[in-house]
Amino acid sequence: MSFVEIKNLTKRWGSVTAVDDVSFSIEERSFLTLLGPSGCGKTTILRMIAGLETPTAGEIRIGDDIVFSSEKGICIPARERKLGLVFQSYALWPHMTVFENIAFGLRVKKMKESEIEKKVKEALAYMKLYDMAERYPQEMSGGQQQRVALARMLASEPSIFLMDEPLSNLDAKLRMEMRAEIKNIHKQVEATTLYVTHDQVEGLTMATEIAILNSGKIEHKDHPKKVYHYPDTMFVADFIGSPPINIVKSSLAGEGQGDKAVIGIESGDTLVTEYSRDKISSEDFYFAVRPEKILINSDRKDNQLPGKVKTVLPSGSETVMQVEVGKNIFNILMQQEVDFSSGESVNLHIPSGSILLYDKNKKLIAG
Amino acid sequence: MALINIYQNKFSKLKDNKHVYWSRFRNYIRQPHVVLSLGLLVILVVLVVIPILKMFIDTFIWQLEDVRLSNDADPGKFTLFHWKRILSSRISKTVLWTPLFNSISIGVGISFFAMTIGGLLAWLVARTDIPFRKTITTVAVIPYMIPSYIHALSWLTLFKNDRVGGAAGVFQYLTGIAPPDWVSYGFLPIIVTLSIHYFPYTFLLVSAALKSIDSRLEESGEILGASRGYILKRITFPLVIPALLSSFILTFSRTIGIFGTPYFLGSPVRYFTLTTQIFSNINNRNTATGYILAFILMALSTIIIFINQRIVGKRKSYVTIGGKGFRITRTPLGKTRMLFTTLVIILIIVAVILPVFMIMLQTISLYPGNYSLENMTVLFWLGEGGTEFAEGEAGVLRNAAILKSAWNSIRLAIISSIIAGFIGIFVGYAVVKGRNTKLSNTLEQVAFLPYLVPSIAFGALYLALFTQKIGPLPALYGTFSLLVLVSVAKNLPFTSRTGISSMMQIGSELEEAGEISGARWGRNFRRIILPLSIRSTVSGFILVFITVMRELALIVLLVSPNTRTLTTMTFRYQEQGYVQFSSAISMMIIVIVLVGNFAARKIAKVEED
Repeated sequence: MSFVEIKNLTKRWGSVTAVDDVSFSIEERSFLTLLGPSGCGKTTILRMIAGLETPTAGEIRIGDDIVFSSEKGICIPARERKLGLVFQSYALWPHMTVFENIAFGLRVKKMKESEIEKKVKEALAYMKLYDMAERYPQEMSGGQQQRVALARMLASEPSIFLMDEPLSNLDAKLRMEMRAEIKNIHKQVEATTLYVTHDQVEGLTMATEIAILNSGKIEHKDHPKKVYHYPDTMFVADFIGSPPINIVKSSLAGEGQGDKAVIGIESGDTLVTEYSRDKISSEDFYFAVRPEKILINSDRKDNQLPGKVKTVLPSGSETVMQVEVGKNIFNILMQQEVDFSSGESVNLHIPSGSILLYDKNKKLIAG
Repeated sequence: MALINIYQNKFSKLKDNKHVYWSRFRNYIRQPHVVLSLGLLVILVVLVVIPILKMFIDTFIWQLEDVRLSNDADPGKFTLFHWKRILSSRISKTVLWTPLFNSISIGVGISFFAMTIGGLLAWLVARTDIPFRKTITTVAVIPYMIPSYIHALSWLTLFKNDRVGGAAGVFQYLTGIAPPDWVSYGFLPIIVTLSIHYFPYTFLLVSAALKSIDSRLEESGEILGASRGYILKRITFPLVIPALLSSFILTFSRTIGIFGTPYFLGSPVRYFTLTTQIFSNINNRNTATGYILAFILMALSTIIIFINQRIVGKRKSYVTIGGKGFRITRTPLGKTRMLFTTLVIILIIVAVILPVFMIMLQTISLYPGNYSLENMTVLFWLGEGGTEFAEGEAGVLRNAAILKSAWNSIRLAIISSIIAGFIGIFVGYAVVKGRNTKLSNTLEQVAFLPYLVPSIAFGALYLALFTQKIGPLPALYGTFSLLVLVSVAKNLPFTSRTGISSMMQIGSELEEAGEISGARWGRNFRRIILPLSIRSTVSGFILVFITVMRELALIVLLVSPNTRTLTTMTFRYQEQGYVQFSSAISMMIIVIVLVGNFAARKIAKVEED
């Protein structure tokens, strides 16, 4: 049985629907990331699970307890849900020292003062915050405040970790460090974790599972690799990956060997796919290919698209290139420095195995 | 059978639904801010809404004292008599229209002068290289901090003639010329003294607006080749117009509600305004008449504030577009620097030094009207009280009645500022937490209501309501509690606003973090919200303290011999002609108010650091 289960969760503010009939579950000890652009409803979902927002409809179960149900009229307040939450702003109390901040939740539980001291010290040591106990949050750096917020959550030993964009106020270097740190904590503590972010790298690096949200609905929920390589919808394909995936309008051009479909794009070129012919209706559809899958001037003779280099954007270890094929522009990512100049003619090879096809409803056509 | 089954199903479903609705309702009602909002609404309804309604209803009912006025009077029964009498009868001109005209004309005059002086001073201090800018800022707001009638008393000390009664003032003593009535009393002195009282208000508003204008806006004009005068006219001035307009309108809405000054300077020559007319009608037991006038005054000030919010409120927004973190370049005054400096010094002498000096001089003159050195005495401060003067009253510092009233004033100010302050914090919490819900909006609006009711009218409301016992509440007339109630209620708009803004700064996540930690609301409030908001509201407390300290109009109708305060004692002595006493008590008020203000600033500063 999954540890958290969400059924038909809906949140409306007046006529605005922030979360639209969402259902999903979180397995025990897994790390689920809710990923989506701002305003997609991901934070609202997290806050409803935490009990800080009252859903308009639906049901939330945590462990064996139903904590919210609109049908049964159940609404357990946040303080009784026994979960931990790290806020985007950290929400450290500015009038309390680090020690008092961490001890707050333990004092609420009426623990013995000696035990509280032991627990706080443990949490501080775990987060490598030695000698910081008597400091006030304002006297610390952003990264240290972030650690205090994590320590505060860890000390109270909640059954679920909720994290609401905890890294978005840190600079790029610290963010990378903390990503590793949070992943380690999850591995060691094995607490069920729900992590909300708009940063796809965070989503892909830490999670055991990610769910992509768009306008209050889950578009795709799966293992990060699956989501990256076989995105269910065009929205997900476009949202994940940088530079973004190439999407080109296509039409059916014929049948290749062993009933493999051949598709044509607007420039007149054709590409062989691994889709069987009968999977594809003859109406308009799209083909998509990740920028790093495209090869330039390769020895392969099939699936070649002749194009012209438009811009070259080198960035040290890798290079992004934009190539014009007819009216379409392809982003290509190469893990090396390359020597092309704009205007140069090149040949793009698109391996037939890396081609994804989406129907006119922008849903992935099963291969 | 099947039919019965269907009905049974439906019935059990209905029961289920009922249960669910009840649970949902219970979940809703259990939210702390909802409970709090409802509780506060009840308090506000009792303190504000019911008094207004009760007063309104009373104007349609024959009062006991009306038997004097009409043979038809049937106490307790419905009648339109009062409204007809005031709006269209022989006396409506004297009772309503002339006072209304007077109120509006002094309002317009004062607002105009206050706006001009305050606006100019703000520009000088905020945007030019005039010297002593800090000192000017500190001193220029003093006239606004002290009670508005103080300038009236000092005007009388200076320009009173001996025609109306009592001794003549310093001017007549020195020159031998009796000032004409229009100099001593009425329209002119009211405008002068209240313009002096209110110009700091414009000064503060326009200073803030000027400080929020990014100098780069002016500099871009300069880059394009505009002269300083042209920039001032076409860029700076238009940007502060909303602030100026707003200060004009708000000053107007305040002046029409002011009581002390028009009473001291107008009544002796029968120059009445709406406020003094309300007072004398209620004092002469024409209560219904007084209530109707209070209602008209309320309606007038409501309309004005509404206009301010609708028209000016929207335009005001562009003043802050520049945001924070920019430079301010000062215009060099050049040759005119001396001229402007002198003008400002004169203004400060006239507005601050001279009035305080006059009041002080009055307190040490044995006989009013004689300002020679031989006539000087400290009797009114320290005298033990004998038969030879002032009907045996002792000097203010030894006078048990006055010291008691001082204690009353301080007690009243402390208690009501604390209560109002705390209610303000709760209102702030409930409003911010329930942001954009109907309940929260209603609460915010009801808490703002007392702002629309001029003080004298508010006092009248309470007089109307609390003279009899209502339900479990005993008749409060004449008690100290009534003064506390009215002071709390009148200051709620102010403390609620402070409460709301301090709650907005706290940010909801700090409380939510406490909730996640498993703490109940009470603990979160005590441990997180209160410690974080109390610091920013302490200076708010002190400002309420000062407001209550100098309040006259609000409580003048409600005090009894036992509950007199310093301000009402001033009022009484001035009325009886013991000007030395009224002046000495005024000095005491000035000192307390200035000290309080100083403390508030210190605290606000510590807060900033």
